[in-house]
Amino acid sequence: MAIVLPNSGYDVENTIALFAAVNRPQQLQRSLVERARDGSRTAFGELYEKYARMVHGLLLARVPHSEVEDMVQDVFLLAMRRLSSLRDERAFAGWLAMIARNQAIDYHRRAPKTAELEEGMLRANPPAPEAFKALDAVRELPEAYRETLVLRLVEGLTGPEIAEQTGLTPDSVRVNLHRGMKMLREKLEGRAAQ
Amino acid sequence: MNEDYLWDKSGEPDPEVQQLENLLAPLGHKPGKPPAWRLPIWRRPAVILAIAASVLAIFGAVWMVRHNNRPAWHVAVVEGTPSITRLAKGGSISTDAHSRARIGLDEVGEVRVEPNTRLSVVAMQADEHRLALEHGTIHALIWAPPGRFFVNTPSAQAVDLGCEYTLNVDEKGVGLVRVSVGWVAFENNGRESFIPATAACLTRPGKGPGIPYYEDASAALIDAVHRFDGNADQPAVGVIISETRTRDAISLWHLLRRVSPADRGRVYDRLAQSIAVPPGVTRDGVMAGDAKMIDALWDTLDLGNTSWWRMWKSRLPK
Repeated sequence: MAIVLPNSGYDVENTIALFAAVNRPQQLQRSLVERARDGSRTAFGELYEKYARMVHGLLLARVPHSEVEDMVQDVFLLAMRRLSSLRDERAFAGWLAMIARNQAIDYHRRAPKTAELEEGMLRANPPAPEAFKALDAVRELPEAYRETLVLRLVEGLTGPEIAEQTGLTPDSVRVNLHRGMKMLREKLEGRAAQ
Repeated sequence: MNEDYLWDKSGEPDPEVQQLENLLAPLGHKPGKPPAWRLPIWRRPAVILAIAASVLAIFGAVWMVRHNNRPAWHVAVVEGTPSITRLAKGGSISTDAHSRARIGLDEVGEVRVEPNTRLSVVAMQADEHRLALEHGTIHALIWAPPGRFFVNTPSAQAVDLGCEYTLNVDEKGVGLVRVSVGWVAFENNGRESFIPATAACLTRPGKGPGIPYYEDASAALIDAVHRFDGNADQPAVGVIISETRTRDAISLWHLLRRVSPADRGRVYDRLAQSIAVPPGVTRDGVMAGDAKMIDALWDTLDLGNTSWWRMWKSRLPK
């Protein structure tokens, strides 16, 4: 049973799992991080390709869709500037996720509220309005479930990929997916009934 | 709900999950180029290398300036091919059979380096300028205060006491100083010889400074002094005694301190004939090696007071 901290949306299991996971050996990631730290733009590009969906998903779980693409770029640029301060390169994924979450928090501190649906509809090939409604339903879930479901349903990552990229244990991700999906289904059914 | 499909997309797709995936996928990340990013300018390898090179260049320039400003003897070529222009501490100059040079230091003096000579700089300090003569000949004209200019030879150091002199070291390491003006002292392990103008003195490896003698002394006396310096030849003592003029008392005074006790009496007797023995000095006292009495004898040679000698001796490097 997960212990949920008040007003946080995180459960203690996930937090402990995060710290355990960041110490896992990840040889490929380590070498990419090392090379990026030394100024390799190729390595930076590979890190971007590998983790952009994760960062996008974490942001999309918190900020308007229209802001997310720019913020993904900002998160990576900020991470590269701070990369020399990362002592354990194996912790890169969890560290990058933390930067993304903090950027989302900063966004809400300074950004005026906007009508996301209208912005989305201004695009050349806008997503269906139902997509935004479904996303709204996901965003109403507790934060841990919200993040995991966005990464799974929107970004298309599998459970093992979510675990690897966010630093959560596979068991935590599995639990989050299962419980989150159950809660989402109830919400969607409730809305359909209205 | 198909848990496997929700977990890793394996197995039969769950229709509800699949429907949500299809609906939400357009909101997901669109693959594209990463943002333009470069290392900050101060972290780029080329910039770091450039900074390091600049720092090295600055340090190099500072070192060069300081190196060139170190005290050094100026070298002037008089004849032949010596190529150096400065002679700092640790440096050396060699001349062949056809070359000679002149080195100078404003606050010390000038040294002429004769052919077939090797000379090096051992110390350059305000109170000690020291050269080492391995072999060959130098002619020194020194205006530094007494006791500040030294030349090491294989068997003794020559201490300038304000003078002009020629110093030669042969291939066996035997040194010969000939003083033109002023005084030179030879010193080695407490054995010392004081050489006034127009006098000369040998110093031999393993034996140290010899008996100084005036160059206008008889050939027999000079030969006897050299024999005594070489092997403490006892017959030479007799020749020195018999050949001594009044002026040669300086040789007798040095001999007095080096002969065996058996010969010391007759050396003292000859010295006492040449000088006026001062009050308080007795034959027995001198025979017993009384230092004060021997100093008192020196004072009668009219070569300066012993206190003057003690003054510069106290300045010798330990």
